[in-house]
Amino acid sequence: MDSSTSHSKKIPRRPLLLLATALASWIGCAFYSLHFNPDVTYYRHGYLLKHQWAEKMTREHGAKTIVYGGSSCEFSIDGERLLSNFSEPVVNYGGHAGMGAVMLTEAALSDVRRGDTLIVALEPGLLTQPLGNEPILAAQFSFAMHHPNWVLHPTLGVGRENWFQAAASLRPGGYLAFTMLGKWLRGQPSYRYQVSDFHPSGWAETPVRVPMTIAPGHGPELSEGGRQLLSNLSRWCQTNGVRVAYALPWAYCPPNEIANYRKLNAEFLADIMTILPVLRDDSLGADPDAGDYADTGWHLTRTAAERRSDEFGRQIQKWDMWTREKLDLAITALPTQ
Amino acid sequence: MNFAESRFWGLLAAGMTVILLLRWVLGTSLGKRREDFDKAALLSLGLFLLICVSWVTFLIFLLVAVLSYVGLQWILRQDQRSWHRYLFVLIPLQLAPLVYYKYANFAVNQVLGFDVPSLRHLVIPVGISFYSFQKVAFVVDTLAFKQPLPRFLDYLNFAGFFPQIVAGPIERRKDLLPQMQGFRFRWLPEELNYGAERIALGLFFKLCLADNLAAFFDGASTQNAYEIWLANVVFGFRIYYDFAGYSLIALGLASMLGVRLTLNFASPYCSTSMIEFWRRWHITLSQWFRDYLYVPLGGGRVRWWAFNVALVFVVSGAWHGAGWNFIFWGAVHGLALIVNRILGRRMKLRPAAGWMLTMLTSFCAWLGFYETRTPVLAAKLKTLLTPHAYGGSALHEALNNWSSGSGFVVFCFLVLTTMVLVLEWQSVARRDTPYYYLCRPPVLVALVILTVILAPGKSNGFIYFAF
Repeated sequence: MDSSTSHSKKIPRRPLLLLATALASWIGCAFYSLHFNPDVTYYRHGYLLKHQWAEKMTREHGAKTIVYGGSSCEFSIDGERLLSNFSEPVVNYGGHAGMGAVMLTEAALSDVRRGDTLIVALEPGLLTQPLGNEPILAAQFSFAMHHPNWVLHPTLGVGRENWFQAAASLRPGGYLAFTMLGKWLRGQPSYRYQVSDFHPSGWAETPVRVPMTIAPGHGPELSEGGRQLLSNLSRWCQTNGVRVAYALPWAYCPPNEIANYRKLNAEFLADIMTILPVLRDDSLGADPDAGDYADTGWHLTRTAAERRSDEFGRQIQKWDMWTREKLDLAITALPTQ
Repeated sequence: MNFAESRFWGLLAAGMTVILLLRWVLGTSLGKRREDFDKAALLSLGLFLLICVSWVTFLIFLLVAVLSYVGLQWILRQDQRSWHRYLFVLIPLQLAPLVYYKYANFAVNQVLGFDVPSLRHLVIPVGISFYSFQKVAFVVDTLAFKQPLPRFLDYLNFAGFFPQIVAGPIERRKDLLPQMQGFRFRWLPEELNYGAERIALGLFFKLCLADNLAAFFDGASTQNAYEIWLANVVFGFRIYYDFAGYSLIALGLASMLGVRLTLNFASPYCSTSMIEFWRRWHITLSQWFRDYLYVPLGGGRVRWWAFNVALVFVVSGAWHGAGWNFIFWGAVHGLALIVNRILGRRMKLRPAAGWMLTMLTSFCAWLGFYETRTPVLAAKLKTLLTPHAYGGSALHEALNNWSSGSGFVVFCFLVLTTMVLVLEWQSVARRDTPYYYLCRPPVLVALVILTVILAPGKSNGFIYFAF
């Protein structure tokens, strides 16, 4: 058979129809993800506020402190209170834990300047789970913020995605699509939080209350990706004249599980200390008072956030760090459950 | 060679671009050698994709392929009466890498009780179970039907055809080899249409159904019968749509290259008996076990047929993995088939009752597939078989758990899965053509839209890559 007979001139319509359908669906999904996804809309507003506050702090105070992590950070550190009570210019760069450790770090780094202090307050789970397969919310948020480089060319070189992967993430995904459907069927608002929950420094509070029941959990040690991320961050901070430390977020823990949870956190901190200094907090991230929490075991109420902010202010002013000996003593002092 | 990853499609596109460019540049100068060029190009593409998986995967594949060909060539030169004796040497040699990678840890560390850490971390080369079986079948068929040894190039294309090399379908010499011997890159519209339909359906099965069900699978409960059943159902759907999805994409890719592969799944969850289930589930593996183990043992015409069935299913369980859980899975299916065959002759069940019994058995058996810890498997099985585990308090607890968290999302995916199953059932019942209605253009368009919207961000590997 020569080449002329091995090809047909007839156009195969089915592949073209299916490709066109996929492309049109993706365009619709991308438009929705960037403009109507409630997570993205809420956090885009929040990050613009955080950015404005960061610029204001730099302008008025020179060096500032940026604290970042997932929503546990967002709901716990009140920058305005720290400024008025401790004269500490602090920006709360807490975001959605669903964006992943890489995205949260990249977004925070965008406002870090030479001479600043950077406090990593990522939830342990974000650093103990494997990195590399970044959540779709990360790409959606970076594109919505007009910073696609956060996923395409991350400053720390961890969790890099190619254009195709990033573009393919501009879709809602099954979880969001059906959660939205459920909310619509039940007549609930599309998102639990409102942009009015944000305060200018980036701290947020919510009037929603949900009973607390279970303790959070995480692996005892950093994942390979988590270790690489923190190591690269440490090097970057050193190169760029930024002081850096880790602060363990507070989480609700039922009283009968508190010793075990503190031990788990202490093991995790011991691992972190091999890379970054860790702010000393004797509670070891476990809080048995359910009344301190709003709608999840990570989101503090206003009163608890005030207490947490005051503790945080004292810690960064004294630059009080855990040492291995003190941490070992704290572990030994914990009762066995 | 993960069809669910963009990397695979990028590499395939790059490889095809190079081939088409070369074909165009060389043009008429190839003359009569164009067919050889096409065959060599197909082989190079397959080997290139295999190297991109890993060098170990590539080298083990090459070892088994060359060993099978050279061994067969040598046997064919011997006296015909002694062929079967040499077969007893060649087949174990062909299966040696598979046995080593799959069972060395289980046999040495678990059964014999030694402690060899290096065996614990053995990574099974992708596709080894599938291509090893295909090559065993090739050797046996060549000798049994006194077929000539094909050209090495054609043989390598048969053994390493990239759409099916890593997870089947396990093709036979008579079906695939002639297509490889006459292979040319042909772009026939009907084949491209057929291929695009299968790829779209396969991607929907994998990305939309299997990957989402995988994200919400929760096999933690050992005490609550309802939660264990839900886990079994979610896993049962997941593994079906995962593997059937892969097989459909393989079928579609092959079709686009002008090659027809065997349909590996034919809507197994529409079966009304276990015998029918095994005619619809992983068809090429079932046929392989039938032709190369069950029939040589005497098949169903001997008095010890029940033993033959049990043995085939226990071996099939062990093929899936080295662990007691897989033996349990195989034993349940073997027992169910024996009961089906004995009772099927004496009593006629209504199709609905037969379907219910078949689903109960197959979904119960999935426990052995996902629960690899033997004591936990035993505890779950005990719960499932304990009548008072189905009490009101257990139901209340399960409903409470399902109503919180992602329960509604799981419910939605199960509804979507049910709708797809109804279309599968209608395709089988009305047209006797699996997936007929799912491949109709309006339905396919809807499925493509659903795939784009619902596919989760995190892609999972195909379950059968581990087997």
